[in-house]
Amino acid sequence: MKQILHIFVKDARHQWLEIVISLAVTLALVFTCHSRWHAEAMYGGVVSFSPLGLVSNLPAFLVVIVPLSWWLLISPLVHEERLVGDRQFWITRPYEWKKLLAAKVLFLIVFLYVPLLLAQGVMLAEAGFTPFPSFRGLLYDAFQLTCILVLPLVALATVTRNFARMTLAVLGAIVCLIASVLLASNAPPDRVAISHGGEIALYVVLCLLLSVVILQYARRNVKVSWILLALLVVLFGAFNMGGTPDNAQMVRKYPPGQKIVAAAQFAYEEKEGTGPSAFVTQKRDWVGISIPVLVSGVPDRTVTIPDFLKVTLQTQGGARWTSVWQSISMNKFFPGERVDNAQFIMPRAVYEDFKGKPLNVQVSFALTQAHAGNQERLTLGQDDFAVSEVGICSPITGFSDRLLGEIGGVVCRAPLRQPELTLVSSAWSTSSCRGASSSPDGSVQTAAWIGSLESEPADLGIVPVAISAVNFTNQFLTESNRQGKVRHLCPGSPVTFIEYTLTSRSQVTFWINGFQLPLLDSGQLTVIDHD
Amino acid sequence: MKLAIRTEKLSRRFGKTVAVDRVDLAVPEGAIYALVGANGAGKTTIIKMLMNIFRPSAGHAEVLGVDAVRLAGKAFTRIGYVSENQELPEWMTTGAMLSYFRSFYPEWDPALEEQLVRQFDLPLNRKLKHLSRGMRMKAAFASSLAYRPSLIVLDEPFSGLDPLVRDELIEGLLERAPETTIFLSSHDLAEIESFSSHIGFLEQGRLLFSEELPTLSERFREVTVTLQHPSTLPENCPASWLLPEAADCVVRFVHSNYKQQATERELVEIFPSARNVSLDPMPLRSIFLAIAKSGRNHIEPAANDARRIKA
Repeated sequence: MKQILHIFVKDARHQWLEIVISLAVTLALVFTCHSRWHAEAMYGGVVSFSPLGLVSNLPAFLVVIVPLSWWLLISPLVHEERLVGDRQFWITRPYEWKKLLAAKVLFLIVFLYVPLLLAQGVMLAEAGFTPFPSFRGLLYDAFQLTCILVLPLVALATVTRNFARMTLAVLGAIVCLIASVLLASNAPPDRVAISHGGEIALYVVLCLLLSVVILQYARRNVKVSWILLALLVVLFGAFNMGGTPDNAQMVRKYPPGQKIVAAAQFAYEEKEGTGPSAFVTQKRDWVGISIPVLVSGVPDRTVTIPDFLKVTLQTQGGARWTSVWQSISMNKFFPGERVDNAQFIMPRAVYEDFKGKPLNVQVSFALTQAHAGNQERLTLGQDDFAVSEVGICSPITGFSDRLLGEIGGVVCRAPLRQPELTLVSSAWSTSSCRGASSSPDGSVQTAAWIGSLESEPADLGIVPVAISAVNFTNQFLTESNRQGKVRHLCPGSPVTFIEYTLTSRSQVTFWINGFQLPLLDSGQLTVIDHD
Repeated sequence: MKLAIRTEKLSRRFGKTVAVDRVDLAVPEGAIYALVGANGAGKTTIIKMLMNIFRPSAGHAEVLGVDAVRLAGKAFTRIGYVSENQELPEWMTTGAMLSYFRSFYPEWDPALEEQLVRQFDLPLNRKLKHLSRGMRMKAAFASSLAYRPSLIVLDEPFSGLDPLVRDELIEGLLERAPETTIFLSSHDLAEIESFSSHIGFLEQGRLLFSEELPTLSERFREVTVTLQHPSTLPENCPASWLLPEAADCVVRFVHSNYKQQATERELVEIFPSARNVSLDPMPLRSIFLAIAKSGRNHIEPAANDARRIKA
């Protein structure tokens, strides 16, 4: 312990300037972050070039500067007893590598993690949240930052001689990342992120980077360490290329036959005007097919969310094509009947081959079902309001909104992560809020989803406050029912928050017999937006 | 005899280049062992393998009874290492560096530290990066001697230093000699000769010989044979003759295995008509040059000769 403290004190004395810079940047972020939330509430996050707009943009700038200040902190910390070369003073002194490494870790804890934790605590308090219940989430965030930022910087410092070389290595790493992203953009479009890929990638990154750091401190084996880092880049590229969740993975995550989920009925619905259609995708050798699906039987107080779709096409002659599990973007289904289009893509060659033939189609959906929990009904005013399980919400009351006596929208902030999946509903007023009627007419219902069902305790980020903009539907009138130009959200409007919690996941399958692939709309380019 | 350093067939390759080739070393405790050789002979590589800075490609080395590849941490409390191109924590002052190193060594002697600071006239308040090369070397020496190491390893310690600094360092080193083993590499033979007890000669990664300095000096003679008539070199010169040359009536060579009676007999047999034979002792520098030159002209034979000489 004595040696650890001795090295720690030496490093702290040597790096006082870097420590001061890092602390100053972190402090600046703490002092300015509230201006961002203020701007969110004023302008819904649109940054103007007014002084307030620029100040409100400062946190976004500082969020980039903080990791750069860590870079300035980590490079001299590791290079002080550098691990590359054969002339360093310390390698023939009674340094014990475990103690040396422990001293460096202690330095990072004291001058990087503790200030970050304190700063995040203060930011949470400034956002209106009590920091202590979020401690576990803050630790999880620190873990994520370690894997994504700190450990890569430490690992690159251990395999380089000095700051300049480390800078080159960091730039090289960035080039590799960009290259892998560009390569990934050429991947087949039916590929999606591997199920749980992010989590696996995080642990793989952690293991490989830890191996590099430990190997360097224990053996100073630069060649092997670089090979491990190269392997990391290759793996990152592979993860970026995505993949397709295989059946075993899907069965594990979406076990078929779950009763509650299976209660939802999915069926092919072909009526006049709602038939299937085909379209050209961005990749011209792939064709998109859209089929109308009637969803019914969703249990009471639940919502059913289709996540993935898998299709098998079979001709009378026995020819067969099965898609991979493709991610889909459909509406969320409530109790009652509703028709929505399910879209999948298939290779153009297969499409041409199967076109015009009667097909038996097996359609499987991987579904998530969530149950309505807490419900909170509030009245919109001009001030912030707290919503349990969501956080603190602010009505957007920018200059023009104030002038018109309206509310431009709602922005909610939550500690550490997006809130649980929440349905926010309200009512539009068809007349201006300063109109004859002082109370909103509430004639048109509106709703929006915020949050997610993911269960990580914290989103990755230096600022521990997640912002969710509530994007209400139906604000603009369509041509067919034009009565005015836009609908209005007025003070005094009711707003309801219903929290949904994950119930279960499952698969449902239905068949379409005698289906014919629709003709392609030539020249029509449709972009499938998978989110 | 207890050995401070022992190597067996120690070898190191860098790609296709063999830097050190099957070197067997035995450095007795208490010795001042000088490893000499031309630039690029492999001296620094051997020292770096001994200090576990490089890993051997083959062979084995032991330092103070510890396998060199396991040399780390506490083992260095008994070893002092100074190298001409060693990096020091240059942002520290001399005093801060000594103070920093102090706590790493349980045997650190503050009185000795003070004495070394006085002896080397070290400016304690100046940063190392602002010191001259000589002063930095002195600071490195002070930080490596103050804990009374059992073994001091020096890699070209006097290279590029002015004579005054060199003498100061040698003086400081020799004061520690009775209680330690000193292993140093150098190509400055004049200074080595003045205080070394043992010497090893390295040529292109191979150890040509390793022996006590007096024995070595005794073994080498510069031989000048004056003949009655102009003559050429005899056929089949013995392998122990280095750089033989003949000019008019004079034959000159370096005898690398001189033994008074046997050599005189040998010379009488080969040069029965010799008018005069002179056998002059050689300074270490001349021995080194003779071996180096004969090695460059005939590397293989010279190496073989040397092995024979060793045997």
